[in-house]
Amino acid sequence: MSAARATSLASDLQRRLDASAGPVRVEAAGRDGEVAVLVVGPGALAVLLRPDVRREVAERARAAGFRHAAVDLELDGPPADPASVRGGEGDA
Amino acid sequence: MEQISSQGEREAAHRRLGDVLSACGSLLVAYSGGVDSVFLAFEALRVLGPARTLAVTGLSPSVAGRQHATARRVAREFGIPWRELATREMEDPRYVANGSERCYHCKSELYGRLADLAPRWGYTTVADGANADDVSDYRPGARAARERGIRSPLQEAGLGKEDIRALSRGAGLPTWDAPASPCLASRLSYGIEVTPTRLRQVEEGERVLRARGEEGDLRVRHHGGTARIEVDPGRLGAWTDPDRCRRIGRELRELGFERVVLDLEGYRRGSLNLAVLAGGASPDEAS
Repeated sequence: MSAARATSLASDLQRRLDASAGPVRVEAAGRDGEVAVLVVGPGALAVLLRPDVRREVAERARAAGFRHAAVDLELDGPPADPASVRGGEGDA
Repeated sequence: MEQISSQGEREAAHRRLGDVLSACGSLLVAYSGGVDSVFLAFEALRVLGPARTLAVTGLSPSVAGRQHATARRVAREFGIPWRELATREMEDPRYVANGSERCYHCKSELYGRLADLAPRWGYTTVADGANADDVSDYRPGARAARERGIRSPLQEAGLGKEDIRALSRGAGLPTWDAPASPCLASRLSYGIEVTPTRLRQVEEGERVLRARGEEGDLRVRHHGGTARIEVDPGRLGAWTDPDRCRRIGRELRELGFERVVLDLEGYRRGSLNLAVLAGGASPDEAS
């Protein structure tokens, strides 16, 4: 369930975000998979933290059934190849 | 919702507070070291004097050391009679389970102890720092207070948060601009058991953030293996530096978190209550 939501959100975000954000993988974290964790590369931070983008990402995450949207601070996301976009398993 | 009074309304409410406190006779204040309880203890001392005022701080793993230090420092600096009281909520499985009534069980322990001790120590009334803005929120802790006859003089006088900050500033209290500081347990996602280890992870995580330049309202929300950082939305621009992000992430993982994430919306009061609200249950104290 969490993995399906994560996959759907990842595809949605990839369509919305411009290429400068690079690929985005989404994983569900938390006891109930309530946190949408965006696993991205370091180049995506400046895009994702723009006020308009962060609001939109949070809204899309909520629409996908998550309560929170957050960026993984390891910044070891997938390389800049849009084909690598996929949803991940949650740690719930 | 916080209401800002006009100067005249604020002064009138301040006078009412004096009347409420005077009518109490003597007062034992549940004193956390936060903005509201510091102001209440200060006012009680002003109106009732040191022989009829006592501020009591609960000693618990869920109280941040920083908050406790503020309580002690302010009491000393302003001559407020002060005691500590070890509380035992960690022995209550209903509290440890961290359900939506966690705050009720915690406050029941504290207020129950204070209500028992007050007459033995010679005080007629026990009061908390709830203010007029708190009326609009449903708070299980407030229910625990009512059940034990705890008074809320700031609320009774009609003083809201902004009034209390303004009056605290005028009185020279160092807490006038302190951010809200609910207990550490409020950072744990509902259903994640409250343990001393998790509470320390949260406290230390927030200390790391302050050491790295974050200030104002910030939270480390504990979602089990994941730490979700909330900072002032106006500060999110400082998080575009990948090296800084990785460094902070590493420091929090060293505290025992498996994963560290930054919330894209920043600090939201009571964000963990979303889970409870979504389930139709009652929210706990906002955090």
